[in-house]
Amino acid sequence: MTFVYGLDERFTSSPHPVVNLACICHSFHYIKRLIETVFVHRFSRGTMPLRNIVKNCLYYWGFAAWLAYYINHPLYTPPSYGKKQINFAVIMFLLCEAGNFSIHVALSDLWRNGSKTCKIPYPTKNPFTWLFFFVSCPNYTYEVGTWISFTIMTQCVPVGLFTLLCFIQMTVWAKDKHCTYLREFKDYPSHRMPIIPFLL
Amino acid sequence: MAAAGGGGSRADNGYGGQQARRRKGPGALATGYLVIYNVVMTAGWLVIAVGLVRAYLAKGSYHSLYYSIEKPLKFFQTGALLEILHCALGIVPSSVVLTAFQVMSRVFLTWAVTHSVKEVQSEDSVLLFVVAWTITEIIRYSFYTFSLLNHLPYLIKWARYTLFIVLYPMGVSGELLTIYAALPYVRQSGLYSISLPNKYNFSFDYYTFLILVMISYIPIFPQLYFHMLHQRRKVLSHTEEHKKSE
Repeated sequence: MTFVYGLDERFTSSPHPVVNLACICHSFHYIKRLIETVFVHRFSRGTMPLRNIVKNCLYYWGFAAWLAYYINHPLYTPPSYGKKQINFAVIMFLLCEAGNFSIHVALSDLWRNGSKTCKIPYPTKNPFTWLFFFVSCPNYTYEVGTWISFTIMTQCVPVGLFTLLCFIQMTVWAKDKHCTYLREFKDYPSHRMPIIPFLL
Repeated sequence: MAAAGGGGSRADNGYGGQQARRRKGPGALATGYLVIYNVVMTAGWLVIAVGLVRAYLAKGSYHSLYYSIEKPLKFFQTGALLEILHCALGIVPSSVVLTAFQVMSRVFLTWAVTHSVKEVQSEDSVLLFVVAWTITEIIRYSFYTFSLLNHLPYLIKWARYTLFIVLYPMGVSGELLTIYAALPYVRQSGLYSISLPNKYNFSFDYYTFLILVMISYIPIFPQLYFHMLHQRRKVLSHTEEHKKSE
């Protein structure tokens, strides 16, 4: 990485364990996504326009490069509250990832019997799915939680920016989904909000 | 022949603008407000124009005229931010994004370049874009005023869709030269730049940012320019046909 950070920093590794932790968490998140795409998600249309792929790849890889630049920089400053902050963030990260996974499995189960019709998702025995009481798209809620925890873990403004953009995009998707649910089901639980309980 | 009622699409962009569509124009209150807004803006840019002329006559040279119109320029150019609100509220049928982009680029040049880097204020390139903006805005705002009142003189419509051919490149040249002139001072003073390390793990280099802004003119300017040329052909030839059919 000499061409990125300059000659003085070759072959040194970071003195901060949080940097490696961030790398592991970031990779874990995307590996989990890939596994879910192969084994969990059921797609109504098995296609995606080519232009979307270019756009999406540019977005994800570009942002990942930008975030990685700051986190792996020799002058990276670890979080202000030290280990406490990092530990809290890691726990929040794992909980949100577990939540996100639970929701994906629950949604996938709705379509399990090859039924072509939409069904209202309800909470199951898994506590993570109890967010369905309050929210139409808890998978997005958990995802935002994941990224917030990543921001706390790295205490890095570009990560915060990425989280904000994710939040905005997912809120748009959640509102859309919520409207679709309301349109299709007359008996849809009225107290549910799209993405944030009671608020949004 | 009501100019505002003519057919054809009126896509908006900065040196272009908005027109009231027949399908859902603003209500009476909104129209009244918009007329007042556009009259005030026309007057404001006229003040700037007069200020420039007076300063030129008083000084005898066209150098460093910026200082004599600095305040009205900042006030009225910043006031254009309201136009984004007009689009967002729907009282003007233009794209919020496009309008925001145009107004923000003007405001950026006024405040983040010309105001912030004092050393460029005496450059001639500043006069170049100020003159271009002044003439453009006077015509543009009077165009809107007359359109809203359904009484658009052909001269204004012609001017609006013709003078840009010279004014737009003139303005862009002035803007680019000004940003270019600001570069060494930004590099030297580290203006608006944050460097590592800091506890938020963020860095921003204003110098590089300005260079990227300059580069962005390359794809954007031709698109807007040719769009305006296309609009010109559509609007002015449509008027010809109307005239012939009367």
